Amino acid sequence: MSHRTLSAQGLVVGYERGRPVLDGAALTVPAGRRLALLGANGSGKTTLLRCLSGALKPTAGAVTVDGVPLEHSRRGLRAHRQEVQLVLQDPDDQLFSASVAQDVSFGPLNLGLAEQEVRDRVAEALTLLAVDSLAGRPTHQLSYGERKRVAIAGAVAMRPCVLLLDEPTAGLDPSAVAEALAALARLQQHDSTVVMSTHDVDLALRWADEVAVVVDRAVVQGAPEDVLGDDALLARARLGRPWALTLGARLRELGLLPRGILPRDAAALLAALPDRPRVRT
Amino acid sequence: MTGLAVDEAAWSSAWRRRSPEDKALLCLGLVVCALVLPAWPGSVLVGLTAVVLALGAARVPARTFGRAVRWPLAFVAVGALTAVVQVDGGGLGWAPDAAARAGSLVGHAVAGSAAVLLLATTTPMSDLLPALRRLRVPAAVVEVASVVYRLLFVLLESLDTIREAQTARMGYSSLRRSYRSSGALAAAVLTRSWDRARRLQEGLAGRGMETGLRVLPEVRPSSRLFLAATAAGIAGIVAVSLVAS
Repeated sequence: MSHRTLSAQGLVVGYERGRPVLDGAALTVPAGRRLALLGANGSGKTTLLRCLSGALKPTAGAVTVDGVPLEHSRRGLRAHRQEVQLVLQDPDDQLFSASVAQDVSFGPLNLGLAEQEVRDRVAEALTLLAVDSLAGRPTHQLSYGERKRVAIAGAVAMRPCVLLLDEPTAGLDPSAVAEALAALARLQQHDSTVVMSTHDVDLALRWADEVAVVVDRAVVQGAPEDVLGDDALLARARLGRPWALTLGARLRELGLLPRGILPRDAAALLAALPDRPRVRT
Repeated sequence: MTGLAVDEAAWSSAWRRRSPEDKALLCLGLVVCALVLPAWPGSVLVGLTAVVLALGAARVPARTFGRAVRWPLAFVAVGALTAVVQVDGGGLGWAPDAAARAGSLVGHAVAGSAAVLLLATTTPMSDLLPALRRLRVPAAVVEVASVVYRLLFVLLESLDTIREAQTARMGYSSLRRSYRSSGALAAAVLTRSWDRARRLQEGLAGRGMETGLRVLPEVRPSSRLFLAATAAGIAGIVAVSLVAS
């Protein structure tokens, strides 16, 4: 795997009640970075991800990988799917095989790889997602969180340069979210560029290197502190401000935090606080 | 549900990692014996062997095996009844050799069913489907069976969830409401399965599906000891049956 830059320019996609779901949307997924795609329910996050993966052909605009435009021909899609993989929100939309290892082997076999290479990739993907102990288990007996990670392993086994995850933490309990995030961290160390859609602003702030908000059929992209600190934008996007930014700003006003970038999560916030409060007299 | 009981038994069976071809050979041998040999003692020996192997060596829980065998037994009972009852000018009556015919029919059918269930309760679909492919069953048939098997559990879950929601809102509190709720349930599951199939198609296309649903089967080496024991056991049943009849 190597890092590639995935981009979309001027996307016009789908029509819902006479209006396009996306109208002139542009996005750049920087190579080797973690991008969180934010937006309210029905804002067009999944539509954008489907466009980026090639599953949906836009009415206008283009998707490019390292500047090379995606062609919606059989050959073009085949080449694109080796570079970019989409993991759908519901794992049952991807898992079709009776056992976990067999399901994960499906993608590599479609790449025309030799049997030993397929076995190696299956083992590697299952280890990366920490589901190697489930290899021989039937898919229908797995928990929802396990099924989500197996679905991601199915895409990872194809060794894509960019991995698009549609709400990978939706419906998971806190420990399953932690396991999923740990798996994503291992993937990034393994040279995958990861894009995750979510409507959890706190998760986006603490996880992402960059965030993009789908709002009013377009995309606003930037550094997490800038985008998630823009109250007017968040209100338009029907999202809340992350608690860490709200609390951090107040603590700074009180003189308890130094100037600079605000902490993104509880651990960073606690580390940034002084050992003893300065008592004003 | 019987189907789920068989599936659970197969995934947790002690014979789970045995070669599916070895098990298929054993069960095929038992089925042929059940059909060809005389009901006494052939079918009885086959039935006992299948049950002892399933509950003993393969460690299938007796309760699960019992749940799995009850529907075939019900079919056998109905079939046997129609074979021994005759309708003539005098009305309904027993056939002249009713007891012998019923005994033979039930013996052959129960023994055959037990042998098939031995395979079903010890071999998960993940082993059975690649074995079918190796036996040159058309790929399209195996793929349809594979998707049906997977979607069965997803749709059963949908069915249970919708039914529970309907029941909580008094959907089955009278016969009339039950009819209406059952219709709505069937319609909801149908539309969901249609939608699910469309999304599954998209998900599989994203993973490069172009020609078919190829997956890598797990390696299950054949056991010479198992095959030798199979041959000896089948030969023993045949010999005892021929000597005793």
